[in-house]
Amino acid sequence: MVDALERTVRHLRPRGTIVDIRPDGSRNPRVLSRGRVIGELLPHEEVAGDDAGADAAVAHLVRRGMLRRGRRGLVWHQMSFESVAALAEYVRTSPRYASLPRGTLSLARRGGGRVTVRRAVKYEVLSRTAPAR
Amino acid sequence: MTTTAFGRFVIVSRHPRAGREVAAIGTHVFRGKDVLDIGTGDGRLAFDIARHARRLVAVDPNEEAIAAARARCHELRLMNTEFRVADAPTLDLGRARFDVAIFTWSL
Repeated sequence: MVDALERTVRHLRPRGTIVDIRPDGSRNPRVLSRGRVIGELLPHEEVAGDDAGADAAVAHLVRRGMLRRGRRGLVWHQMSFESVAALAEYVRTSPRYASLPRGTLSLARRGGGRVTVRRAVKYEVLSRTAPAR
Repeated sequence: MTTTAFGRFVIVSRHPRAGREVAAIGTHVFRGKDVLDIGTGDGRLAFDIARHARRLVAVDPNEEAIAAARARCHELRLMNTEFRVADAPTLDLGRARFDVAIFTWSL
């Protein structure tokens, strides 16, 4: 990830900007039924490692003085599933999410089946502070 | 709201319009700039960024996604946007330089 960032910085003009936008690994997506939170999607362990690695790569270039941190924030993504089965299938085939906590699906069925997943997507704007090395 | 087939089931997808994300980042970040979009996928964010950018080069290692993005780009008649198959670790755009690079869920 550090390599990818460094390679990208080399393609930036002086005082150029990098925008990093990706799911917020510190907040598990919430599963809602009828407006109530009934569980969370749990990510694969390696995904959590990737998120931490990306954070570390940004921090590394900031420490080296190549990038300066700017604005950051969150955008909420919402996905609606027509049935509990659709949610289960989504999780089963998702490269990012490993499982639902036990009991979530039965709670969703009791709520009528239609469920919504809300997840936080974080962004950060960084600026290049030094010529690429 | 869009509806997509997902295996045997149907997901009613309510992803925010890309405009919402671009607005959160700030359209001024892209306005009149040469932008590199890394991990563009099917160009969901790229098409909105292209409305503000002077020039946009969008890359992704997924050939099918890039093909879909190119088709959409052709439909929209975007003259300032170019999609390429490439990924960040091996990215080589020669001497091209950009004002902004965005990692779209790809860092």
